[in-house]
Amino acid sequence: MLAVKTERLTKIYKTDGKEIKAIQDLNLEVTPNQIYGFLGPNGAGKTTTINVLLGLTAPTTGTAWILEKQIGDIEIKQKIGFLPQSPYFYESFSSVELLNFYGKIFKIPRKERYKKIEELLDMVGLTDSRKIPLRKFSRGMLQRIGIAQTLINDPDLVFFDEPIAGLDPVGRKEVMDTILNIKKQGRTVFFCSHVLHDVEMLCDSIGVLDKGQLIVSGKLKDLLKPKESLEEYFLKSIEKKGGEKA
Amino acid sequence: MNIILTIAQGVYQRIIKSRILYVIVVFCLFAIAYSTLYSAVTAGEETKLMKDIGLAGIAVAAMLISIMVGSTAIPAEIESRTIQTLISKPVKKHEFILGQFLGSVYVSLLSIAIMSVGFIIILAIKTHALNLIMLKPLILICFEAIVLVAVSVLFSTICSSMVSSILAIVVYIAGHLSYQIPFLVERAGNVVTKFIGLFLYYALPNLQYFNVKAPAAHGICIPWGLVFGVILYGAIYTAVMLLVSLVIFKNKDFA
Ligand SMILES: Nc1ncnc2c1ncn2[C@@H]1O[C@H](COP(=O)(O)OP(=O)(O)OP(=O)(O)O)[C@@H](O)[C@H]1O
Ligand SMILES: [Mg+2]
Repeated sequence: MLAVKTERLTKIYKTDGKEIKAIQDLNLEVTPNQIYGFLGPNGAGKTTTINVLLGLTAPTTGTAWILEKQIGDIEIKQKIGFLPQSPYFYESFSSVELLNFYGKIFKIPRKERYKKIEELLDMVGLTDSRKIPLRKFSRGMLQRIGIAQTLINDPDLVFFDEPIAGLDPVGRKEVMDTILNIKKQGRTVFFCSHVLHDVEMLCDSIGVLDKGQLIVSGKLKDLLKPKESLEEYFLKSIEKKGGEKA
Repeated sequence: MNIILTIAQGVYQRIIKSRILYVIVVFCLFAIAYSTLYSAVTAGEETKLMKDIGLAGIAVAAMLISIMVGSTAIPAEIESRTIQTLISKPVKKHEFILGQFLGSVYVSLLSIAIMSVGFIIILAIKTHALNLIMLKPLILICFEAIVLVAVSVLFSTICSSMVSSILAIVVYIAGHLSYQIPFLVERAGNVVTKFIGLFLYYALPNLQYFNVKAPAAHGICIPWGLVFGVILYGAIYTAVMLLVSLVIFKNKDFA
């Protein structure tokens, strides 16, 4: 069983008559019960990959499976969670209202829903600010309520797009702890980032994307030489790839 | 609870907490004040005019509210990208559209109901009678509002909320004039003009059907058969608008 599998997944955007190959012939295989780091420089196609996997946009060619179901099958969405890049939620809602709204979308019965909301608020440390409208939230708090909403339906697999970008060290630590916690609950985490230091501490395995193509993938401990940091490795692999192309 | 109703309720909750609510309240107060003011100025027998003017005030306020609410619901979700989170959950596109539509309709009908109650009360004080004859025109104002929400929703799947509201107001004005098109077409010699004229006649909502203010104000009884006929027309027109919105939305990217 694979959590995510893509087969020659390609997405070409056409803007102003120009074609942008956001991802090209991407073959990914992500095994479950781990934290998978999806890395790559800006514009590599990370967000595009997630958007295609979640059905926010259709692939140009190729296909993908999530939890063994082909994308497009609405059943998949019962079992996954998603935190978009720089997320934005209904700003007049409070944390409780937001979670309640999404809980109702999943048709979670009232009693169970309220219990779940309390659990999640507690988990992300927002119990005390439960009534404050989200427009008054800091970046870090928004990111945390964003993570909480991905878990409302008890998903097997969650996608986080840049969950630690733009946070201060304390915020980063909190989010990273939460992500580890989510893995401990037996869920698979698929997350995009270019903060390599954090990825190194969190991930079990990684895939590195560059210009829409997967250039490296595997278990972190197999890829890195002793004492080598992911940052060094990352730069090396992207350079090497550039050299091959030239 | 049903997903469509959940989304509709969300739309309603957000409007209640947003500035749009103040605009709606101002419109409603204005419509009620407009009809009262007139009755204050013309003490005496002028209830006919007062009814006519009161209904007109409500109709205009209802139009503005429906268009404003209907054309902001979907763009608000797209511009703030909250739609990405929503679509990543088990929400089908038709559920999304219908939810936005129903939420907007609910707000617009609620405000019409509030204006109508205010109007009937003022009228009752003035005439010492419950003017239930006003119900039929008020019901038709409600259905016109539903049609206008649907038109605004359709525009808002293609344009920004600003552009959609302007287009919807244009449709409102044209829709109240379109009943004259057949007379004009008859006179037009040119085939192309005829074709365009007839196309507009059928494409635009014939909103004059919904306007029974004058006969109602004059105490002329409007048969229920006519009211139901107009409601049926409104329902069909609304359904077509929503269907077209859905077709447009089906192929839309939310990335
Ligand atoms: N909706 C779109 N329309 C046109 N081009 C797009 C669209 N979305 C992304 N692209 C292009 O596709 C390429 C990949 O973008 P994507 O956002 O997937 O990269 P990313 O790896 O997520 O980058 P970042 O680290 O900056 O978030 C970029 O060249 C981008 O300009
Ligand atoms: Mg991105």
